[in-house]
Amino acid sequence: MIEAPESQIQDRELIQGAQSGDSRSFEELYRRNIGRIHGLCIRMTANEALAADCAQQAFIQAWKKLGSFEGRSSFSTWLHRIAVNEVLSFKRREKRQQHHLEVIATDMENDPPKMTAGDGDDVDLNAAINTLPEGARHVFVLHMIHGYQHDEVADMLGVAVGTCKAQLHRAKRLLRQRLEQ
Amino acid sequence: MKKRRFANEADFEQALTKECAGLDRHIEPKQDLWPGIRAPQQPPVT
Repeated sequence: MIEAPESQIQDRELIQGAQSGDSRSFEELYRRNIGRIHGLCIRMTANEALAADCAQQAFIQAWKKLGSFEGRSSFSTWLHRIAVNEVLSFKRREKRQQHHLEVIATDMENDPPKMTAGDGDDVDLNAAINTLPEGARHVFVLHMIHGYQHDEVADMLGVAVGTCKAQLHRAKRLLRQRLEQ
Repeated sequence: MKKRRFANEADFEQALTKECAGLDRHIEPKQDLWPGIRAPQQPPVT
């Protein structure tokens, strides 16, 4: 029998505690996971304030839904999915609100924001990723940075696998252009 | 990442994959978000 790593055993105990209503157990789960969840939200939103809101909302949702967590995936993966949903639903709400206010140039491909360049020829890859159009950025972050397979990314984002692959191709093409500029 | 011309697609993919591996890191929020999470909490549905 292969023993589970100590952190996993402790996670399981914390999840059970939190499922019983112990907020201290949930706080410990929050402390262990907030950096990774916030990092994911920052990369997906390219906006620090929005990322903090989404990360916070993701943990509120996680607390509400904790009773339905059955441990079929790791707690971290389960949280990731909730965070991705929060980012997407926030973006949907934002688009609905902005639609009435202004016409927005959504495709940054034609007018990419300036990247933050480092010294000399250094280019900040983070900044380059932030300039990607939203759909391409979401796929790139989940697949290339967080290592999800295309079918998992497609499932999370609610798009077809083919769309996901096309968005990744677009993201890479744009990044290459920007890194070679 | 160094600004440069990539020799071909494989060269670019290799550089990108290497760079991306370092981006999956934890980024702590500037403010502790826990107080805002604790406030609306309610017992989870079991």
